[in-house]
Amino acid sequence: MRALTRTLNAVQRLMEHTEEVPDLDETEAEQTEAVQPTAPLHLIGIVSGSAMYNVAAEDPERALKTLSETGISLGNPERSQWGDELLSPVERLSDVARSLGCEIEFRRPGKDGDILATITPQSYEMLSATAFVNGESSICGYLERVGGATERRCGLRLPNQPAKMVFCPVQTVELVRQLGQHIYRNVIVSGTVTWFRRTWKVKSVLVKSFAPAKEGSILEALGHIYEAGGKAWDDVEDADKLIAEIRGG
Amino acid sequence: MDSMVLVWGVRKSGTREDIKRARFLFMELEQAEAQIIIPSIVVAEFITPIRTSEEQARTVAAMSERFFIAPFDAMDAVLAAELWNAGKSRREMGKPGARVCLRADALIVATAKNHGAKEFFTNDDACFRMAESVMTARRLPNMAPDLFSQ
Repeated sequence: MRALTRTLNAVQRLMEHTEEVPDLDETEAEQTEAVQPTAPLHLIGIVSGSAMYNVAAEDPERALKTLSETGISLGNPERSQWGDELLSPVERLSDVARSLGCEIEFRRPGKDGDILATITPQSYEMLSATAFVNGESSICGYLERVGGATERRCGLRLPNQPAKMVFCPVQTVELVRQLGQHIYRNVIVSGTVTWFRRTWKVKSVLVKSFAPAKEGSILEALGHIYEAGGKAWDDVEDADKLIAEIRGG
Repeated sequence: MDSMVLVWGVRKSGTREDIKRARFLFMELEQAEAQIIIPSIVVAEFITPIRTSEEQARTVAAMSERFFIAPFDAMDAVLAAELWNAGKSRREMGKPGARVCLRADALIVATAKNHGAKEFFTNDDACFRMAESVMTARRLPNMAPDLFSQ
């Protein structure tokens, strides 16, 4: 039953194109598993002993379109614009398929309805290989959450993608504790960063170390830079020209 | 931010208008308690006219006190390559130094973007166009952040 709930929840997210909020603890997460009353799909038929479930859509045309587009994208992952709103449901559905040792098929209504999309246990892995790029880097962000009941994680609000918090695994418990001292402050985290390949938005960071963000007066800092050596620019007659020369122009 | 923005923010002699506009920008950033990302390529350009290595080291240390000096890493290289390829078609590549200049812009913009920059500040038109393809690009402001600032 839990697998069915997870499946339906993932399909609803696929329909709504909403992104998952994975920071909640288990109790909260279970509450969100329940299908919301405004969900675009409604389960209308469960047959005992059958793994086929009929659903009705608020907007059937859109639902069929979304599912068939998902199927096409799964068939051509290289050409598709994978965002988190698509990848999260596919990840969930792949998990379910793996745990049950099956494939999840979405079909048009009717006994011999066409297959719109098929999610296999490998679907998400296959997409991951094309949807993301990974590498060691460091990123500025505002630390909004630290901890987690089941996993060590932190929640970062990145300045260039403020609409959604980025949830990041943290390598060690000690690091979680240290991060906890900096909650609700800007930090610079370093580690393995995963970006969406098409948009270069950050999906997550495996945090291996961090540093508090820089604080203090910017105007005073400019003065310090001037005194330390930046005053050399006062002797440069045409600064634009020099920069162009440095760049080879 | 791009090199020239930092140069105009630091220097005290030169075109008064550029210094004033840079001042407006840094006042705005000060009020916002902004995190400022300086790509390491910008640092290299900035310290080039500084004569001694001791002064260069002190300057970098002074920058690090308040600014995040973002290193150019492997993933920045990947994005820079994408930006370079996209930028080729938008620039007159026949001009002397155009390729090298495009490469420098791509390295700087990619570093800023990948390390979390929300806005990129530059007064260079070509660099501005490249930056705005991946984030918000801004020029030096013409007005102070508040009405009564000088």
